[in-house]
Amino acid sequence: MSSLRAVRALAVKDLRLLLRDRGALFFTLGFPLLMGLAFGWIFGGGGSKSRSDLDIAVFDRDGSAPSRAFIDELGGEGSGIATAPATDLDACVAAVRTREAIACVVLEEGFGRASDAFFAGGPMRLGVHIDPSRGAEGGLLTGKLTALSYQRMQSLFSGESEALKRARMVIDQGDAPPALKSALSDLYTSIERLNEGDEGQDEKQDEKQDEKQDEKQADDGQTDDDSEPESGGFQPVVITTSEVRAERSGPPNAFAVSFPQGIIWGLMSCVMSFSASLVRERTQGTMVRLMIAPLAPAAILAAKSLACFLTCILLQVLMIAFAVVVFDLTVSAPFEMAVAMICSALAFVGVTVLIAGLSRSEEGADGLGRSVLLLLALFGGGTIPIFVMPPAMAAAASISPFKWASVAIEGALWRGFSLAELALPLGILLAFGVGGFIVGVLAMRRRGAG
Amino acid sequence: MSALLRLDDLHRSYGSTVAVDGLSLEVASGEVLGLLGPNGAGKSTTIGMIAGLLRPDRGAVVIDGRGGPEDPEIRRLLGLAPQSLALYDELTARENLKLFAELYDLRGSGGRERVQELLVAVGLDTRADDRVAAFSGGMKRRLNLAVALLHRPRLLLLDEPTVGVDPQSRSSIIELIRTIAGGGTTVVYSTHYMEEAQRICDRVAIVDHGKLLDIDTVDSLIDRHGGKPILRTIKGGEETRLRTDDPVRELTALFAAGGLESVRIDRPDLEAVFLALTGRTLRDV
Ligand SMILES: Nc1ncnc2c1ncn2[C@@H]1O[C@H](COP(=O)(O)OP(=O)(O)O)[C@@H](O)[C@H]1O
Ligand SMILES: [Mg+2]
Repeated sequence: MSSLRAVRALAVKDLRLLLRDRGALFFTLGFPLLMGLAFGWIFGGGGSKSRSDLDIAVFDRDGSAPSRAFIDELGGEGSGIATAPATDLDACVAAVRTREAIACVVLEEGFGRASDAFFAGGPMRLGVHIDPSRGAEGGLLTGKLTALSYQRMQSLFSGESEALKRARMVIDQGDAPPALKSALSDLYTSIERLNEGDEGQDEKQDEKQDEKQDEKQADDGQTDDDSEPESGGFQPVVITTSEVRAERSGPPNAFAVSFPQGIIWGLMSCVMSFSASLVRERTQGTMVRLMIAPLAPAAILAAKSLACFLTCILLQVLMIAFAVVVFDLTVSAPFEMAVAMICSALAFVGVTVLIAGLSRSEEGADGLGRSVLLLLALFGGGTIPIFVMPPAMAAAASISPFKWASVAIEGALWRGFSLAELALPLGILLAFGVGGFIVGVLAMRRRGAG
Repeated sequence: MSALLRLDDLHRSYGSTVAVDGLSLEVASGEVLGLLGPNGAGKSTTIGMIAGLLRPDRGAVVIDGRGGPEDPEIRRLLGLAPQSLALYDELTARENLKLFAELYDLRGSGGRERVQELLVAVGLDTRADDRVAAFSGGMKRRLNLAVALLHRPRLLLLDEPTVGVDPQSRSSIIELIRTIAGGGTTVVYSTHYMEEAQRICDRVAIVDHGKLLDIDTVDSLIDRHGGKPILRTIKGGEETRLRTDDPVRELTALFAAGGLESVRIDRPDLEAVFLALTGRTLRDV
């Protein structure tokens, strides 16, 4: 029979056995989830502070009354934004870098003048410096800024302000330059749209604008304050975004720590149940049947490894997906996360084979293997997250494959590690996988030949 | 008839324990050969070497004149019901059969039919979808046998297939084996129950301490080693045992003397053969 079919049939059998083993199933999937939830709540992740208030640092380069009013409105009650004034641009950007703020908003010079007299000055100019990993919040913020700007205009035009009077006058007199007339009519259109509450379309426009700006930046890599909107129409607000890479100082919330911890326990349980099930094939005699079936001997181990691998992947995907959906985590490096999951699954397949190879009996896999694994998991990030360990302890934890899985998963989850930065943990995980597999197979061979 | 199985001077030790010590024999195609010996005689080790689970220290196993069981194509000819049950407890009877059917390329409707056929043959069709963990010893033994039969092996290796089962399961297992043997399947049947060997086997190999003591039909073995029949008589409350070549003549004489209360002639059996060959009884060991 084709080996692939055999491997599949056997792997399905192993997954079915896991599903029927309530205890193993609980410890592989249920317990990690409970750990993630419990540790997350205990360490204060239960609140949704990160959701309610976006911390924004603001640098008011203009220093005018309208700009101050704008800032007050931005951080106003119920806005969901908490503003913190910065004394200069550097301080403002630094706040993003150190994660005190998710973004720095700069009100450029001339902001006040522009907001009082749109057609006289240029558009209102805003600079946004934001960590690229905070894409969702960034979108939210630029949306808000745009809406606010339009609202400001609306209030100016609806009130008996100088600007409104002048604008009416210009239009009424009818001898204004055609360009200005057209700009004004554009402006009125925008305002009308705003009044109709057609925000969906507005947002679409905002997004388009953002994209345009982003493209520009990708080109020259620097904030370009003088960029005039290319559309012929008058644009009352220009938001320029630029990237500030935030330093990885800490996780966004407690669940970003507790879910990787839960994964560690799930991986441990996965290793335990599959190494025990591999040993059980020997003790319950089914290995004998598999060995006399016309299979390549490697197919038996390949199937067990495949089932173990899939379970490890499933566990990680479920845990991360749960954290993302329920606790609003963002995977800062999704591709790296996929690679990290695959590497840690491979590592623990190797560890599984190693333990199965070294244990004489099912009890051995359950007993000695269990205690060693437990220790490795405890000190490999299962209880104390690696990033808060004292350096000596973290160094000692390096013998634990769990540590490297923690580092890789955390790195991809909230530290925004690149593949290059993850190379060490991923390499070590692969080494555990390959090494464990080889030693385990050699041990089994020796026993089989005995 | 040509030999389907040939064992050539097989040796196998576990550390200092010699389990099989120079075993040679041939099994003809379609024959049912019994391996009769007490626990520890080396039967399972022998079967393990035939199946390719254990490598002989010395000697060779030749199947169908072609080669040893290392070759997967030759292993395909073999069916094995191991002495230690080899079943997944948490799978149902049907799932166990289906898994092994797949490993032998029996898939789709053909595979399903074969599985159903065997469930009926071993009387487990009504419990097919129950987990093996809930089965009695006898049911497990029957399923263990059914798995060995899935791919219609030419050489069936049965290692103590009736150990620890209720009498009913025992007879149904023995009946099934007779049916399979009747269909031309070659069977190697290891047991320490001489009644079974006597009932099922064309020839019996008597093994002890890893050595083949003799191999022949049951009758020939008894003729050769069983000794004379024993004439047991009770007269005046006292039993007398008399070994004789001609119990009928002796009996006539005793009747003539009169006063007999009870008479019995014990024909020698494999037990006597074993006793004669080893100085021990099968039941003792
Ligand atoms: N795995 C093993 N390790 C050590 N000794 C063994 C092992 N298997 C069998 N033996 C020994 O080899 C001898 C033959 O055993 P076995 O082939 O199981 O006999 P039987 O099947 O006839 O009862 C016995 O003395 C037994 O104790
Ligand atoms: Mg045995």
